[in-house]
Amino acid sequence: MPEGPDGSDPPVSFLIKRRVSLTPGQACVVFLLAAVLTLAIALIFSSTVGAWPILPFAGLEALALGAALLWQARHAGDYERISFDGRSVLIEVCEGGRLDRTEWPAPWVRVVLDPAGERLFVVVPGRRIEVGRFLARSERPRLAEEMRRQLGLQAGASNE
Amino acid sequence: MEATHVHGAEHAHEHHPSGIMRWITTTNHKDIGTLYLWFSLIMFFTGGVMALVIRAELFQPGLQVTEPEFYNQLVTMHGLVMVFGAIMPAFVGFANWQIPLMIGAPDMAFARMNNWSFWLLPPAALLLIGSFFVPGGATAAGWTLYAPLSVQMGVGMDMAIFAVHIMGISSIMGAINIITTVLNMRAPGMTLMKMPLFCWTWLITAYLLIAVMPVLAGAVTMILTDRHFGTHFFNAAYGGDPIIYQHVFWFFGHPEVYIMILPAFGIVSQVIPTFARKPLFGYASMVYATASIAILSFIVWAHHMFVTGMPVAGQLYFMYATMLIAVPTGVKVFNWVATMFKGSMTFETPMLWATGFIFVFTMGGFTGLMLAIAPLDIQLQETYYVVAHFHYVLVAGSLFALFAGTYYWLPKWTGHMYDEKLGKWHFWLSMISFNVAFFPQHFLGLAGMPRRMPDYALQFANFNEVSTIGAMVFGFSQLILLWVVLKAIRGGEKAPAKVWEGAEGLEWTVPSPAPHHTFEEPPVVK
Repeated sequence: MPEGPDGSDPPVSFLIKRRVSLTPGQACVVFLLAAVLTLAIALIFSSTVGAWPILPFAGLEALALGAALLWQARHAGDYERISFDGRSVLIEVCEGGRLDRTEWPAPWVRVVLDPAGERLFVVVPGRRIEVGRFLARSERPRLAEEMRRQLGLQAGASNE
Repeated sequence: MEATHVHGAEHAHEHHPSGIMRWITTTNHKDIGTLYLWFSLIMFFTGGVMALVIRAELFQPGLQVTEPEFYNQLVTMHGLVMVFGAIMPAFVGFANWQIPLMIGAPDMAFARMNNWSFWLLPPAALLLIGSFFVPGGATAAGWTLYAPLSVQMGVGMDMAIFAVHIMGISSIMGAINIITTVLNMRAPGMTLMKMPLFCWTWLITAYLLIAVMPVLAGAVTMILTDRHFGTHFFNAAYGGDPIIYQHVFWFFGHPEVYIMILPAFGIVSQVIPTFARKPLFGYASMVYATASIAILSFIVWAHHMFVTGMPVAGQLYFMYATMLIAVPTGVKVFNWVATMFKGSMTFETPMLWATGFIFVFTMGGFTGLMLAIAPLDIQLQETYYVVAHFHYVLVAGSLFALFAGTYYWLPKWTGHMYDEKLGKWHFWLSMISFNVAFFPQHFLGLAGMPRRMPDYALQFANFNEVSTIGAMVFGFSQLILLWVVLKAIRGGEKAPAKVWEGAEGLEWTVPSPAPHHTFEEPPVVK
């Protein structure tokens, strides 16, 4: 394993991002295009012919569309980063703008892929964190192998 | 270090709930698409039986089969069931099945909401159909539910209002799901202008739904509050105005027509290039034409109200604005014909339906242009000419395109080829009988036969006899479709992944039948 400038192992990290094709800014435009039109129609009917019952329906619908797009926009930046620096494993899980960082000593860490191949966990005694949720089922075993390889390299390096 | 990994586990993944719970709890887009399609087929036959009773009554002058009150209930419910129960859910079914497959997404964006939006429909259908059995029977105000008639009817009217509300909620949830799926879940490389046209037409349709569904909800709520909560939106004696209902309804109603036809354009735009073995002519212009039709649909509503009364300037505006729609529609028809021009065409059943669609839908478009002319419309309003026109658009347009899509993708859905011979019988019987049923109605309308009447003057008898014979043949021909679908589900020649030689698109890269889970690993589109 190559060494870093200070003699330590350089960090190796796996960055896994949610697959999306709409940025939060674009989601905002999509929302405005729909909501402004819907609410404008409702407002015009309400103010010109007194058909105000359209307004609450338009408002509710705009809220529902906004909630759906907001949920997607908040999760557009979701990611998981698993970093190996030779001594520890750092797991960062960013979900809906909230970042959880967990650091465990590398020798304690195991990688567990459930028998169905659907869920992948980084495990220490008494705790586990699911990773690879944004990956296809067929990609999780590959990530598991890569992480095990990193742990093996680190274990080898620390025994030298 | 210790790692647990069972090799080959990914291949043992195809487990999902079975039995009835699979269908109730499913969040899989293919399962939900299937549910939508079966629901719409059941509603299609339900509305179809109503149509046949209507036509049986009209076979001869005088009253033979139904009482006038029940006749009006049948006419109203036939419209509501076909529009909200058959055509719209069928297109949502197609969207559920095809959009994720076409854009390389593993499922719809909000899978749970997708389940809810389907399961709202059966209670709504029960409310609609159940209204026949309550005192006073079903609503008989026509599918437009015009006030003040709709303010005066029995409990069946309330049931119809709630059914419309529920189906509206379902449509809105479906539209939100389609917008978020199409925009956010496309495979890498699948830019908007590379999307199959079916996805484009559905994206624009979903926007239309979002824009106009609250208008419908508001309109029927005003009827409800006028009926039960002392409001007087439509009561002229208290300062209300029944004409407002017409404006509000048709502001929803005209875009609704395009909600029912734009996805049909999308299906035909998938089928024709496949069997012409040429790329779609003028893809970008097709997208812009679809968007133009959608935008124009908001500014033409009052062409449904020429006889209601409006200033001449208003009549002129709505007349010319309506005629303008012929331009983007003409672009589409031109592009379909240009796609076929010098193509290596074969006429399998989907292509027969698609070319048949162009032929008969264009006739519906032309009669629409005639009805856009205010002085002519004033003569033809409330006659069978209008009935003929909208059946040419909605049966020969929407329904024929749905049939084209069904035959086109049925092998992908079931894994088996359908019976080509039966498919062709279905097409030719339907095409001929449809025209026998509805073409004479143009003459009836021109001669002044009013619609929504169970009886008529003797002078209209011959064309009505012809029309009823055509309708009966058309109605019973649809059993062939049911048989073809059941036969393909039960077995038959195994369908390959790429069912049609000239087919292009991601859906043809997955096996037939499409596995329960597809594109979990995103395809890369070049």
